[in-house]
Amino acid sequence: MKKLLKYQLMNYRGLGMQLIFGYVLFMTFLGWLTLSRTDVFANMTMLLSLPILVGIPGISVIHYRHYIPMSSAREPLLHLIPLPYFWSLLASLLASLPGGAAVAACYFMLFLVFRHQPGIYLFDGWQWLMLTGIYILAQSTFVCQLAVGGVLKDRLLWPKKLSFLRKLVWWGADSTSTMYAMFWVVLVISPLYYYTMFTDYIPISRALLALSVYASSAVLFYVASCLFEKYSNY
Amino acid sequence: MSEILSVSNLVKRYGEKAALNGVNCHFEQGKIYGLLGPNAAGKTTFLKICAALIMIYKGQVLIDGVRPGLATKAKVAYLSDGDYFLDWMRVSDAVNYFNDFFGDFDKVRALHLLHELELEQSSPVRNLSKGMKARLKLAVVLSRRARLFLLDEAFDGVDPVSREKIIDIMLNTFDQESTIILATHHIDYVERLLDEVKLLHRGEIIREIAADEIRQNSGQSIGEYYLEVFRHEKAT
Repeated sequence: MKKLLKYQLMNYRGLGMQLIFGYVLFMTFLGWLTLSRTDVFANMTMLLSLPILVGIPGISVIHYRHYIPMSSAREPLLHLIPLPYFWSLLASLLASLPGGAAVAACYFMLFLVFRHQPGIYLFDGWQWLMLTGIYILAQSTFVCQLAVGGVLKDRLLWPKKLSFLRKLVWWGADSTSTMYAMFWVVLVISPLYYYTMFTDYIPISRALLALSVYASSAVLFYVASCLFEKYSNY
Repeated sequence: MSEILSVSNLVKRYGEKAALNGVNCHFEQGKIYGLLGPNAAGKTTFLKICAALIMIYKGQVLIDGVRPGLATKAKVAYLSDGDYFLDWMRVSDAVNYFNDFFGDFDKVRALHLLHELELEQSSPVRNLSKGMKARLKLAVVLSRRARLFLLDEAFDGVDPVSREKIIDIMLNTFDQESTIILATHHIDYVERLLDEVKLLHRGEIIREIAADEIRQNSGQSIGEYYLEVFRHEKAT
């Protein structure tokens, strides 16, 4: 496990990761510059600094690219090592945490700089817990989607009349960022993020919501590792 | 000689297209096989199934009596024809990666091969030329003491001098406990390596023959035999 983690952390040496971190830092700087040099309302900080969150899906896609079924002809090393997929996926997940933390730190710094302005508040412990949980849930959802994509690859037969739909799905699955954005933003992250940020509107208890996020992550993660183990399709 | 790989009625479909269409064959320990065929014959799919990269198929594949999966990964060395290493790796990282995850990896041999093939340990993999990447792949994969080697277009991009050097090393260090399956359509590259050939066409094994038998019976090289068979197949 330690060795797996070591190699997963080395992913940060890759060109793609460096570009994403460059982007995140640039957007943070741009957010600071905009807010300190213009008369934008302080409570717009969150909105303006949202682009740095784009770094998170970027980090994830690069991190899990070896599990993408459509581009598996490349770099099969992770699939060849004689270790259960559960461990390699867990190592990927753990190694993605520093990336998420770095993005969160940039986001947090903006809040810190403008904390005295009206409309700005710092997250409480539960919100940080939830944000971490959302991050892990997003990773698990993504990995599970990749595993399901692998199982279904070449198994879905489309009638000729619907071939355009097949092409659309194929394109969507191949450009993982599209799939990822769809799963993450629309189905999972947006509602959770909303509930986390605007705690007054939470329909269920805080503890239950946090528990459900972490439990769902664990289930999705386990399902993904089982699918990779039994039904690899590269 | 004992059997290392046995394949029965193997069928693999990609949508409506059959990549493998009822393959039956056996591979024995201590031999080097050529899995030869034109493009889209099913060679890569066959090797991927044996390497447990594809686990959705019909039929039976057994490596030492076990279905390809986690248990067989420790004894199978697979070399793919595409990019192999992670983009952040240096040559030394690739060697250390294999050393860390494969118990049968011989680091001393790997370092010797790197030296022989003129590969600098400090070079980033992404800066290597296609030929150098191919040499690196071969150096690390052949440094394993695996039971079964699956090499997919292993010599693509390798210059003739390095190729001959690698083939000499393979012949000199070949372990009789191992088996090598070389999938290629560049027969002239591997002619002198092969003990047996299996010709794959449209997902089916159409000929299985010993290399010596081809040379002795017809006086042909394997390349000539291959051309004759596939010209006939095309005509029919």
